[in-house]
Amino acid sequence: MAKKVALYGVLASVGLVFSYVETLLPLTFIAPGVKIGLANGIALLLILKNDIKGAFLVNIIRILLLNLLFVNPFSLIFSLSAGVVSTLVMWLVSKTKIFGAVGFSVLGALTHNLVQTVVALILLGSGVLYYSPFLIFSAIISGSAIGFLAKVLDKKIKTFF
Amino acid sequence: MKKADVKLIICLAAVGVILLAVVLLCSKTGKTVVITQNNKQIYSGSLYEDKVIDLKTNVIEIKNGKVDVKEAVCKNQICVKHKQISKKGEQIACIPNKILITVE
Repeated sequence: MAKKVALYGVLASVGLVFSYVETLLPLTFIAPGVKIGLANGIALLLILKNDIKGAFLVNIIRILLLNLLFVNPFSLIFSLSAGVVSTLVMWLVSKTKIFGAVGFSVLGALTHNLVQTVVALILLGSGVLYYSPFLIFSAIISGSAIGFLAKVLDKKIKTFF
Repeated sequence: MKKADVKLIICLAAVGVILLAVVLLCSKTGKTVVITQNNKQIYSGSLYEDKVIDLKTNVIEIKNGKVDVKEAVCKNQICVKHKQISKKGEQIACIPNKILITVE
């Protein structure tokens, strides 16, 4: 138990640093909300290790802390809803065993963007649909990159303990 | 990478290209600038009339048929970094202040 708490703490911190690094690299000129999703690689790694509870915990802790520390609290609605739903989708897709790490990473990224678009649709109106093609492309590119990364990490890290 | 992964990416890319084509075909140069806050319209005016709109939270500039956010009080400055908009349907959103600028 103590080992798990320590592990999740460390992974959440690593994710937090990744999230912070991402805020220094603004890709929002492509479309608002576009990012690499480095931090999601941590959750992805936990899903690959079959630790779904850990993936949820680490992602939720990271998003809450990130919004408290660096971002406007209003964006919490965006990040938390998208974070929870995309983690759920990645887990369900990994259960089906149809796709590899890259596949569910891309689907996770796509869900993340989709949920944010829906939230924006509710808060801001229908005009946000203009960005949907760019959000699909960014999900493909960043999703595959992070999926690939998580797969490499999964191979290198045999077990956490 | 599994075969299904490759198929997934190809399918998604195709959907993206189709959506992009739809968006580009439908985007014509706009005529009016509409600004809403909390889903309520607070400004509407011509795109071709140079003007600076000061909303206290954001400073919006309309110049040469293009709209740009010059200043914002929020921390992330996403709306300020956003490129100028001029086409129909293009938007700049300022989430913290719940402001949405649309070209119609």
